[in-house]
Parts: sequence; structure tokens; C-alpha cells
Amino acid sequence: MKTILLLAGLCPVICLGQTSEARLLKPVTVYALPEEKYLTGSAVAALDSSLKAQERSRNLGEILVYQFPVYFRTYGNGMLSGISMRGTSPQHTAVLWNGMNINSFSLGQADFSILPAAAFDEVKVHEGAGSARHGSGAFGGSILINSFSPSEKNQITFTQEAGSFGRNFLALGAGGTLQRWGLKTNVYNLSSKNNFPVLATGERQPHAAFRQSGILQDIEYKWSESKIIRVHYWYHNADRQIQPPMGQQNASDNQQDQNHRLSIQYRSFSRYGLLSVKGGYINDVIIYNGSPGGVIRWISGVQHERVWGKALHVQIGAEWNHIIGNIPNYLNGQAQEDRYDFISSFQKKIGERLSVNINLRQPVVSGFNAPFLPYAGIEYALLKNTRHELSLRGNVSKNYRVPTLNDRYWQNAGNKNLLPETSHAGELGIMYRDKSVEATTAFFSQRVDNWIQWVPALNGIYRPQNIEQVLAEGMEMKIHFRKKINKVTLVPQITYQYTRSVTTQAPATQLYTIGKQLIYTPTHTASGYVQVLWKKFSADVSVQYNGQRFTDAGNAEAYALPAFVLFNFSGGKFWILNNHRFDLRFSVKNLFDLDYQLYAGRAMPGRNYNFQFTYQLTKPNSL
Amino acid sequence: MKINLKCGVFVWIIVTLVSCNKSSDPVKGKYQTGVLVANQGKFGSANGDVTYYNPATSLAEQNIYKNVNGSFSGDVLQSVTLDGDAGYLVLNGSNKIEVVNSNTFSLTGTFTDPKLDKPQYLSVINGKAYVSVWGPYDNQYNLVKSYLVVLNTKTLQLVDTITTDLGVGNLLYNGKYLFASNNNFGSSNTLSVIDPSIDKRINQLRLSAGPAGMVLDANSKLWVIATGTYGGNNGALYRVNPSTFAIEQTISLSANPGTSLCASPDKKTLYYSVNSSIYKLSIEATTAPSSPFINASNVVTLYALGVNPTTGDLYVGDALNYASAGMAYVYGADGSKKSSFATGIVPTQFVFK
Repeated sequence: MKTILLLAGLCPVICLGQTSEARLLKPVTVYALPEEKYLTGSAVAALDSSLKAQERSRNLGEILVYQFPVYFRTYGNGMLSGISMRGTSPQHTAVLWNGMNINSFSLGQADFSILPAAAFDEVKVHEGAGSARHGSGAFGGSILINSFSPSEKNQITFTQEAGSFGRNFLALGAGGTLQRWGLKTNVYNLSSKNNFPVLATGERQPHAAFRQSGILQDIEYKWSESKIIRVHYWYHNADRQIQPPMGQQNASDNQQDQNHRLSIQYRSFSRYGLLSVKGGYINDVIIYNGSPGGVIRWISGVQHERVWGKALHVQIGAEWNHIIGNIPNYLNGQAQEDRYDFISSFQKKIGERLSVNINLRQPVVSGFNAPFLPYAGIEYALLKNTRHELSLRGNVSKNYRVPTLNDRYWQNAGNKNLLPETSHAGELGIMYRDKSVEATTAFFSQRVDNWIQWVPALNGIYRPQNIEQVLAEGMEMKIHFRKKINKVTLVPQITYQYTRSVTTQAPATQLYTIGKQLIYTPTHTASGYVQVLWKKFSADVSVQYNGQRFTDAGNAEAYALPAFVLFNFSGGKFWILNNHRFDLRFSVKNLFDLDYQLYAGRAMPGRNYNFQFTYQLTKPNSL
Repeated sequence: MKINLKCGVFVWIIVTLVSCNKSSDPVKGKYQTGVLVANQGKFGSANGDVTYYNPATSLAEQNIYKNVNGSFSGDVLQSVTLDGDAGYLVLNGSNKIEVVNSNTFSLTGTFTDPKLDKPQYLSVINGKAYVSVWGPYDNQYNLVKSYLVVLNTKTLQLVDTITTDLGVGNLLYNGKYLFASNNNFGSSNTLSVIDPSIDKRINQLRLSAGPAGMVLDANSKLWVIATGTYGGNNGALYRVNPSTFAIEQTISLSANPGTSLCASPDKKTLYYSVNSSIYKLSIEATTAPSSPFINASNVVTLYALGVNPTTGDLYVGDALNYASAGMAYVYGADGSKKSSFATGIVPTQFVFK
């Protein structure tokens, strides 16, 4: 016992293992379906972990954009970055960390530039609407980030990167298990002078330096094979000079972000099913030009999952969020809100070919009557044998987004009586899979009502109003190959999305926006990569394409950002010596030195380089 | 035959006149005459630029700075000032001044300086440019020190700074003194008087909340509009004697007017706006007009008002939602609607040349 305490206290132990969960859950897996089964009829895909590992110093957005047809409106290199999925705005994608929404509750969106790849074990992307499963704001999609339990193997990893414009990254991790304990610690630090030459002007980008660092601690304790408690803690700290619009002199804005996130989960398996009790604490602070504002959240929830009769999986649960906004611009500098959610999910396989799924959610939010949110999904295998599978899938759903704290409580502007945005969404798709190919295509349509916008009201004050209706429709496809030719493995992937996302209703003063594409929502988006693996060498080329993006609601060509194609290259090799593994990698970003913008007026770097060195020690036995 | 001859002579005279006109006043550039509209652009997107409007053809050309120089002029184009063949583009967000040839709009120079922090308006006096500058904020977004930056127009080097009151904005030079109104969103209530021969502030008059636009009337008296405190409906017009600095007339407006104050070509009539209505009053008036001269109800966000000093036409800029290309509407001096044209994002000022 003494030893254990000592370890818990001292061990900046850690690591990368990923196998223990499966092993641990095996005897009782039958109760706990993976998340995608509760999203039958939708596309859920995991982020490729090998590509993520070679980009450890990058933020999640910089990786997602090459694997999914998504767009990021990024206010400069390493700056605020909001995702646009399926024609929606950054507030319409829910980012969940170990099941807890980590979007900013004051602004509504998640800033992907402060979600570093180094901090995540597993990332899954659900494309499409899913509020019944993922709560407020899941219109365009959800990003699901999960922490793994410590590996049964003891591991130490070390990554060092150095790149152009003073980029420097260091990550250290150690983890392992000892008797009933599993411990894992990761620390990372990224800094960059970020004084890249602005291609349009030839001048160096001023005032864009940043530093980000963080620590993750995972602790697991097993009472028995069937009772586990897990604690995940993540602290991230970012300090940035705000990159000004191109050509701006005397820039001085700066921002610090401090995010504490704690998740505690207790799981008990029994013959009655799986009982999970969870608690969470999230404290997000933004200090802009020295003035702080923050939102604290206390989260607790309980959930039970079991199988009834012939493989009917049932999950019921309840969750409570207590939210405290400490923002100087709110009346009396504070706002408090409670949100309750009652959730149930049903998943059933009927015969060999048909799967159906229903998710239901009833939120209760202080201030208004939240809508009832159902999701129904179906998947039918037209063809299914050992060689290949061809399935049809589809889903319909109703979704909602609670107005942000700023929308509701901003002094002299916020409106507590704002209605939540609601959406009705539907999707139909085909999926084909065999040994070397996986191809999916989906047609989607979503109507968002009561879309909230800040508009000038009396005396020119901006106030949020439920004034717009938006229709986002489109088609999306993804083809992934894996082919071995002699000793060379080729892994190409292509994604493409066509999105027509237009305003269908607007107030009298903004009739000119009707029928116009939403800003920063490209009609055509594509991405892809080719990975080549040979012996201990690997190389890849990744590409993103974004069509013309309008930056004003009237779709003026004069202010639109032109389409662009961006290429990157990386190549590397690894060596294995007993328990030691070494990786060396060299990357070239923006291979063709393209001048492009993701947000109007904010420069992005031209061709730049990055070296990565990774060392990993794995000991199969306990320390 | 007689008629033909007459016609012939007439045509000959016209042709001669036109050609004489041409030879005596060569075309210096595409934008030699007409109306310029300063468009702020979308805040933070560095797409402020200038719209050129030709009243003769009713045609507008967007983004003339970009068309000539390759990129937008910068972030938040607050004002354009012409001085001979030079044009000064004051970029409030970019903290710089772009100097162009005002007839061709090609860039001839750029002024930047650490002291140029949120510049507003510019006035050229005897080879020196005086720029009103808000200066830095404290961490509660209150201004701490506002001033005029003085620069040499030939060398584009900083010459001097002259302290004003907080939130200095509009400038007017009457041939002797430079008047600078201190607005600060209605938190300042003063008018600074600068003597450019010694580059010193020689006086500071107390008006009421939010002094903004200024104009000289037919009697060379200075009129100042004060926008009032936020939502206070306490704007006012002041007539100031520019020599004695005495306040000769105060007209309460019982409203929060826009910042623009304009005069008719004969300088006997003044124009200002409240929300989307335009009011006019005689320089002899002692009270505010009770009803608007023009009710521009189709204008969503009246953001700029200008009067063509030759024709007397009124120009109204509509900023819409501040994030889309705006509109401009032209009214005759009689208040009749004449034409309209598209502008850039947030049209903020009309300049007539």
C-alpha cells in the first residue's frame, strides 16, 4: 500500500499504450457497445493514429483537415481556429473530451488551435447531426476525444521537434501498471517565434509568437476485474500574441488560455449490466489583454447499460451540468445556469443484415423549454460475406444548440429569452468495404431554425436574435485504400464534400443574404493523402483543397478568398533495438510555397520545415 | 443653309472648347474627378478600400486601391484626405497611412510609427500632415492618451506630437487654426484648438458630450455637431467664433445624431443625420428642425453623409450589417432620390473631387 501511494504521488509515469482497454473489457464487452453502434446509420471514423503520431506538435485541426472534408477558419498561424462541418459554423460542432463537451461555453465554439494532438490518445469524428447522443451544438458533427487507460506495458516516450520560424516542441510521457494501479503522465511544450515571411508583402509576420504547454495525468484503479475507477486530468496553458491582420503595425493584443479538465469515471460490471457514474470539472479561463474571464462547470452523471432479450442494447442515463460564468461583461460579472439531460439509447441487430438504433434526449435548461431530441438510424447490408460488405444507411434527427452564455448574459445585449437553435437533419448513405478498400458516400440535408445572430438593434447596439433559417445540403464521399505490392504498402485516401449552405430566412434588413452561401463555407472541399510504407521507411504526401470562400454575407466576389490546393510532404524511418524504438522524420509543409488565407487578411506561412525525433522505451514487465 | 452654317459654327465652337479644355487641363488619371467613398472593410479582415463613383455616368468602381496596387489598403480605412495630387488613406486598424497619387491611386509612400496608434483623420497644412490619433487603451478599454501626430508630407517622417483630449477625431483647418474635436464615444466634450505655426494647442473649448463633425458656414463661422452620450438623446449643434473661440449659438437636438455635419454649396444650409433620417437647417436657425428633410427608411445603417460641394447632391452611405458590401444613395438638393450605387464594406466617408 505504501508503494502504491508513493507511485501515485511521484510517478510522472506514463504513456502510449492502447491495448489494455480491449483486454480489460473483453469478458463483459457485450454490455458496452462502442460509440459508433449508437450512431447506426451515420459515419463515424477514427483519426489515423500513425499520421497523428508523426504530427504530435500540431493541433487537432491541422490533422483533421487532411483526413476529413472539413474547413477551418483560422485567424493566422497557430491562432483561433474554428471548424466548419457539413456547411455549419464553428459553434455547430461539439467537441467532447471523455464524454464532456469542451467547447467554450461563453463563445460556443471550440478553438482547435489549443487542442494539441500530443494530448490525445484517441480521436473519433462523427459527421452529421447527433444532439440526441452528444448534446447541445452537435449539428455539423462531433469530435470525440478519449483518454486510454495506462497500458499494461510500461512505457516511456520522448519526442523532440524543431521547425521553421523558431518552432520547438518537446513531449515526455511515461506510464505503466502496478498491481491494481495504472498510471500515465504526459507533459508537452510547444513554442514558436512564428515570424514567417508574409508572402504577399515580403515582410516578416510581426506579433504572432506563441507558447503552449500542458500536462495530462491518467490514473486507474481496479478493485476487481469488474469494478474500475478512472481519473483523467488535463491542464493546458497557451500564451499567444494575437497575429494581426496583414500589414498592421504596432500590434499589441495578446491572449492567455488556461484550461483545467478533470474527468472521474467509476464503472461496475455485473450480470445486470454496466453501471457508470461520472463526475467532471472544467475550468476555462481566457485572459485577453490582461483582463480575465472564465467559465467553470461541474458535471455529474449516471448511466446504465445492458442487453435485453435478443441483443437489444439499452442505455439510460442522466447528466447534470452546473455552469458558472465569471465574465466581467455579464451583469454583476457572473451568470449561473443549470442544465439537465435525460438520455436513452436503443440499438438492435435484426438478423444478419439489419441494425436499427434510436437515441432520445430530453434536456432541461434554466430559462426555456428545451426540445425533445430523437435520433433514429438504420443500416442494412445488401451484401455481406467474408470478402466484402455493401450497406445502405441512413438517419433522421432533431438537434439543438443552447445559446452561449454571452448570447444570454452579456450586459445590455444578451437575451435570456433567446430560443435554442434547432435543426432537423437527415442523411442517406452507402458504405462498401473489402480487404483493401473502404468507401463511403452520404447525402445530407439539415435545416437550422432560430439561427442566432448578433445584429445591430436600437442605437446601433449589437444584440443576439433568433432571426435566421439556414439550409445546409450536400454530398460527401471518402475512399480509403490499403494495398500491399511486394514489400511496399500503399495507403491512399481521398475525401470530398459538396455543400450548399444558404440562408433561407432573414430579417427585413438582411434580405440580401437570402439564397447566399454562408461565409467561410466552401462549396467544394477535398482532402487526401498517400502513405507509402517500405520496410522501416515511410513517406507521405497530404493535400487539402478548398474552393472559393465568401467572407461577407452578401457573397461579394471582391471579398471572396480564392480556391487553393495545399501540399505537404513527410518522410521518415524508425529503428528498433531490443526494447528501444527510435523514429526520425522530416516534413515539408506547404510544399509549393502557396500564398493562401483561411480567414480574410490573416497571413499563413509559405514553405516550412520540421524535424521530429521520437524515442520509445517499452518494457513488457512491471517496473 | 444658314441653319447649317450656324450648326457648323456651333459644332466648331463646341469642339474647340472641348479640345481647349483638354489641352489646358490634361487628364492626370482615371480618378481625377468624381466621388471617392472610403470603406472601412470588415473589422480585422484588412479589406478596407475605396469606391470610385462617377456622377456623370452613375458608374461605380470598387476597390480602386486594390485594382491599382494589388492588395486592399488595409484594416479599417477611417478616412481619405486629398491635398493637391496626393491622397492620404488613414488606416485605423492597420496603424498606418498610405499615401497615393489621388488621380491614379498608385501608392507613393507609407507612414508608420509606434506613435501612430488608432489614427482617425488627417489635415494637411503647409507641408505638414496632422493626424488625430486615439492612442493606447488601458486593460479596461479606456483611452489613456490621445494626440495629434505631425509628419512632414515630403519625407513622411514624424515631426511632432500635440496632446489633445481623449478620443480626438475630426479635424478642420480654417486657414489659421486647426480645430480638433474630441469625441471618445461621448465621454469627451471638448474642442481643441491648435496653432499650426507653432504646433501647440492654444485653447480647448468645452462643448457638450461627443463633439464630432465640423464645417465652416458662409460667414466663416465654425459649426460643430456633438453626438451626445450613449442613448442620452442629448446631441447638439454649436456655432463657434473661430477667432475669439466664443460659443455664439447652441442648438439642442434632443437626439443622438451621426458624426457627419455637412454644408450646402453656398454654406448657408447645414445637414446632419439621426438614425436613417437627414435633417437640414439654416445657419440662421436657433432651434433644431422638428421633422426630417429626407426619411431614408430603406437605409439600414446610415454610416456616412456627404454633400457634393458643386451640385449640392446629398450622399448617404449604408453600412448594412457592417459585414457585407454596403450601399450609397444619392439625393438631389431638393431631397429627391437620384441614384444609388454599391460600395465596399462599411462606407464611412464621401470625398468629392
